[in-house]
Amino acid sequence: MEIRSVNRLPMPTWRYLRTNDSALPFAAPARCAKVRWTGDAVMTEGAVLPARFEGASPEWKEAALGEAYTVTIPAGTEAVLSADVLMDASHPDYAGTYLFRVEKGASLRLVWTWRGGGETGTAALAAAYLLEEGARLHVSAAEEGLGGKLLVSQRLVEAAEGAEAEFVSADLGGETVIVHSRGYLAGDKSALREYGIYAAGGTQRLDLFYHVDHLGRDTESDIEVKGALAGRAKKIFRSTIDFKRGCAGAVGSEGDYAIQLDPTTKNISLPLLLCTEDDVAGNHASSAGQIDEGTVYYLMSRGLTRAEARRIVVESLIRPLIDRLDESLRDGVLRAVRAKLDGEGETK
Amino acid sequence: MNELLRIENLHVAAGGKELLHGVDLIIHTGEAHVVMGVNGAGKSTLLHAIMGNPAYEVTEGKIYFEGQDITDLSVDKRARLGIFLSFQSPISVAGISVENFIRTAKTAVTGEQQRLFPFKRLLKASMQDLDMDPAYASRYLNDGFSGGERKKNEILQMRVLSPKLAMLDETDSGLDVDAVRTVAKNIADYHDETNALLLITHLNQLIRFIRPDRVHILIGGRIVAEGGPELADEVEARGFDAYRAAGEA
Repeated sequence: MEIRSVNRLPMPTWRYLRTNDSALPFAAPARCAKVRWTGDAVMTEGAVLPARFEGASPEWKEAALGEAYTVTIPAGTEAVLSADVLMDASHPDYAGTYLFRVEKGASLRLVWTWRGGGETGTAALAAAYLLEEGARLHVSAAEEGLGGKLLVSQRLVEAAEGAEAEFVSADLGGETVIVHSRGYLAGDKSALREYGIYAAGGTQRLDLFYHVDHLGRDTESDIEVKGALAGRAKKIFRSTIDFKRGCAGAVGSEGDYAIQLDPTTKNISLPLLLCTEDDVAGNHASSAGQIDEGTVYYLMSRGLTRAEARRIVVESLIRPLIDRLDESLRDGVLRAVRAKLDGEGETK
Repeated sequence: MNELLRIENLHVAAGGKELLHGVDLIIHTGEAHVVMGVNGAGKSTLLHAIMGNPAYEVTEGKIYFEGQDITDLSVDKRARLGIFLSFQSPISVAGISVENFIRTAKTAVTGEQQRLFPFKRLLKASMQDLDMDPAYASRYLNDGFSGGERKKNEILQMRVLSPKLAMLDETDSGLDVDAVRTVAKNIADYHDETNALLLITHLNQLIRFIRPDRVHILIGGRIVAEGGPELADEVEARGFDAYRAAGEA
């Protein structure tokens, strides 16, 4: 399989750390599944992404050129949409490019569900979300049965004054998962919240990239990624909050919290804060470590097995983020996390 | 009365250092025992060793529960046999509610799925007995609880799980006078001829409510004196000075 560089840091650090970007497998989608949409929205064929849409890499941006739609939520209306992608043996791949326009005062609640039967394949998605004044967007995404796949989710969010967007995604399957999210808080009092949940085992590789520019005044960003790694899984978290000149009153925070269930896992965390404005508040945090044995002991002293106690510790970490997912996805994600933990690491 | 717990010549080490140097103890069903001693005497170590905390290694000796050798048994299996430890510093676990946790624990220790409404009724009644706000049931386990609330939550778990042997590690510390009375009353109400108590306390406050059958003075990892409830009165009047020499021997 070909190798491509993805998710390059906006401000490179020492080259010998080998964290400026990732060299990961590349395979263009070939036999593509189609999205099954439910809900009401104005959809037109074709989508032209904004010029500043970067994607994980130029190759991955191009690989997402499959089915293409522009979805418009008219001003002042509310829409609920579900996008279900089934990648089965006959259509193990997916490629899609979308432009979502949420007009002034409108709101969109969107649920992406990715399903498969464990076949190898590639899913490449490129989506731009353009939010006009006062628009609201909530996007939930979850996947199941994508064990052998290469999953690439790329997005761009632009928020005008008073607009708010929230993304919550559960990355549980996929041999390699690449997330590339780029946000521009252009309007005053706009907000972008990004929440990621994961449970990775075996030789899974997660490469997560978030980058938000604060341009407007009193803007708000919150990036939080939580999960567990088992087996020989590896995760890298690159997150950048960039307070641009003129964004006075902006507040941004980014955090990466990982439980490493086995000593053979690898976790790299790069939470960056860039700033050219004085009157801002930026927080960044990173925590990675093995499971707290004191907590496991406490739970076991109430009759829970070690596997149950371990599962509760992991669930307690990710539960607040699971509660942010669309309700239709929560139970499935919890079940998938439990199945994953029961099949990984010490509990084998 | 049946023999519930038997400890023979128990030596326990942690971090390469021996903390208990040959403790013997027998507890029968229906009895209440109190372990007293200075700070660092090994009282909590004894309780954690009985519970099976893997941080403490039993280097010599045996622990029997209802005649079964449990020295090498895992913590959860001991809990399912009916051993309970109320922690001195209960752990907080954000992400699981008090109700869900206790229901899960009750299912684990009884081996029977707990039906929702009967369990809710049991929990609510137990919380009322402890003067706990019912809203705590839906809060995350010990998350944001004060020290006193955590201690009450431990006793709540004891009441609901109904163990055969309840070990309480300084449950009275961090509680105000009224809370001590409430907690002590709950412990006294729980204790009957079908179970046993093993309490650690520095104070006689709790002992006023729960009159012990036996008092053990633990100094330097050894039990240096044993007696009836009058021994606790003597310690309160004179302190541990008289026993220190024996513990350091």
